[in-house]
Amino acid sequence: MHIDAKLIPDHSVIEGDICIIGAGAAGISMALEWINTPYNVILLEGGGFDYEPAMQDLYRGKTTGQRYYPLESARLHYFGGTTGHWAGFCSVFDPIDFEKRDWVPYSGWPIKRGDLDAFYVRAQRNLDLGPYEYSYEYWRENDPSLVSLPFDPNAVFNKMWQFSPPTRFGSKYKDTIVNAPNIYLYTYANVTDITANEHASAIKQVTIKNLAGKQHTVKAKCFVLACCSMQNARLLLASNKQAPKGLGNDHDVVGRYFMEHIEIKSAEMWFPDPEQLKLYSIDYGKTKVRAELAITAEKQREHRILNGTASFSPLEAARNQPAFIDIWKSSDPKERAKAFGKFDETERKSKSSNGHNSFQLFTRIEQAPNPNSRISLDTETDALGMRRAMLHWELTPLEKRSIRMIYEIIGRQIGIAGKGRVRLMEYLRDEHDDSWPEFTGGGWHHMGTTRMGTDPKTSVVDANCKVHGISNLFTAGASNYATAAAPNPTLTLVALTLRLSDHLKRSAGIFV
Amino acid sequence: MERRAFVRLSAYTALVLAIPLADGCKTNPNDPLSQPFLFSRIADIKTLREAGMAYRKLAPHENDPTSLRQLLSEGKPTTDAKLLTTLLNRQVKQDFASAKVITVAGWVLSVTEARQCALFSILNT
Ligand SMILES: Cc1cc2nc3c(=O)[nH]c(=O)nc-3n(C[C@H](O)[C@H](O)[C@H](O)COP(=O)(O)OP(=O)(O)OC[C@H]3O[C@@H](n4cnc5c(N)ncnc54)[C@H](O)[C@@H]3O)c2cc1C
Repeated sequence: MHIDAKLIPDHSVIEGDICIIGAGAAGISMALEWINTPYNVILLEGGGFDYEPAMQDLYRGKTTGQRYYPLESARLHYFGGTTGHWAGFCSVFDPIDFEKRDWVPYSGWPIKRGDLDAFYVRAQRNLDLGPYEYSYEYWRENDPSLVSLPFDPNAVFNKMWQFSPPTRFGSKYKDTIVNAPNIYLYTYANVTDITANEHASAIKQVTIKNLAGKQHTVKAKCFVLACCSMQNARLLLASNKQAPKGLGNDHDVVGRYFMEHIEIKSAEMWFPDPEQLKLYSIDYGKTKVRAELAITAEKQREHRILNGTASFSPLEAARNQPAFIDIWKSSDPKERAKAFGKFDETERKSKSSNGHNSFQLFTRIEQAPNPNSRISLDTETDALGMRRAMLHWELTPLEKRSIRMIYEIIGRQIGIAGKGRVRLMEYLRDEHDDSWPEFTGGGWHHMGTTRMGTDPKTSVVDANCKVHGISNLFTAGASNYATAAAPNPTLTLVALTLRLSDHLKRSAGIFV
Repeated sequence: MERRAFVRLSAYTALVLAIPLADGCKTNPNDPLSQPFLFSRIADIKTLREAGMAYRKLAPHENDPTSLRQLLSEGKPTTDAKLLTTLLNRQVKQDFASAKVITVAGWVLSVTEARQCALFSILNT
């Protein structure tokens, strides 16, 4: 059922069993799981069904520290959320990503990779991906032309990626959600405040507002915050009536440990003879799988580095391509699409059936969890009277050292194979230089602002995504990530959301 | 780096047949000590020189042709270009396998081939 919150009487009180805040990849995945259950599910979406500049403006906010995209351009504020923008690149986290690594401060999840396997299988379906198969051997058997570079698998392996069409949750799941008898989707229902009981140990209700000037109250037995990493933190911090520092923020952790994937051109690989590298190339929209070069857990341990991967683009075109951070600047999505169109065209043109002698190696690497990298609240408020989010993005020397080492490892491997040579870009050559070049950018992957852990002093939610100390408040999405791993976040965040959904279904006590 | 400016003679046949060198390169093509086999099929003369000069800065005690020749021919009692090339190639791979690797002008090279570049750069100033 769909209800436009602008059209119902002001100060309406809406009641249900479970209230999901935000209808993006996480919120919709969660809602789908509850269709035809005995529970009334309220799904609150801040925007409508289409892009609107006024809605998008609610995401505007300052950024400091490492140069970043304008915040209002990095997320979408309408039904379907940022899947309206995403590119559909998906891969699974590695077991090491969940482990405590003594060289990565604040690393370690309270769950293991194995805890997600069953949910990855289900998440693959939500995102219209292929079989839950991420081993190179599986795909090679299906297509013998996917030939690997001859690396020692104990050092460098082929990390497989699958590509969603990409699934736009807004268009794909709208009818299913709207037609579900027990799902009550409210659009133009921006949550601006979460009200807890006196001791801030349980949530009673949330306040929703819209630009039509209406305000309503939503009461439920259980609340799931699924409005992206930036907004999850913003909402908790802004909800400070019962807890002065914000909900779940007794230890000043909410909003901290914001993480992005550093996505940056880093090196070149040169071959004496032209190479096709079919396994490593992508024809956007057509390719079902491809590989990126990844460093094994053993080598990560040996060199005390972060987890990252390298992808290939023919150098001739890639060296003239602008960096994402330089073209993703406009708040207007049409302008951004234009800039990106040119980028894609150059990529396409660069493909040659004769192969290439040289390739650019592009890094995608996790950022080490860093308490100084954070979302906080500005004093400026948005049109609904809510304090705006502010991002301070901060990297550490470990990220840069890790990138350098990844290419040294790959360089060694290609040398052992007698196949080619690697050349590091200028900014990586001086090992004492921790600065980042102008073209350093992120992958639009916001993670870690309500991180998962067992200790409330360094985490916001527990292994079941429940906010520490609050019995009926949960967070869904990449805000839960304790570390970022190398792959893009959406497949894993959907898997984690399905896990949370199963947990809630088992926790019948919550709904009494 | 322009492909057309590459030193193309480092493929083995090119070496033994002594195809004339590209402009600006004074190295004797029959001298494998100053011709990194694989790298010179990738890199142009300028790049080989740059890599060699960078190595010489990092290893100033090796910065003369006699020392470099001595280091490169160590354990290779032959003047036969073909055999020497094979032995040097083997050593390059061994270098990579045993982490005898150095980054010069951004290139991740084996120490042996970096020395070959160094000798090349001295002979082709
Ligand atoms: C250009 C681009 C390319 C990307 N490419 C990839 C990729 O290739 N692979 C990948 O894995 N990921 C990619 N991503 C990231 C991906 O889009 C996100 O990981 C994913 O959409 C996050 O899902 P989410 O549900 O947590 O948040 P969102 O999808 O952002 O959904 C949040 C929802 O909450 C709503 N909301 C926000 N605040 C409130 C509020 N106060 N009250 C009510 N509702 C609210 C929003 O309107 C929105 O609908 C990309 C992102 C961008 C921008």
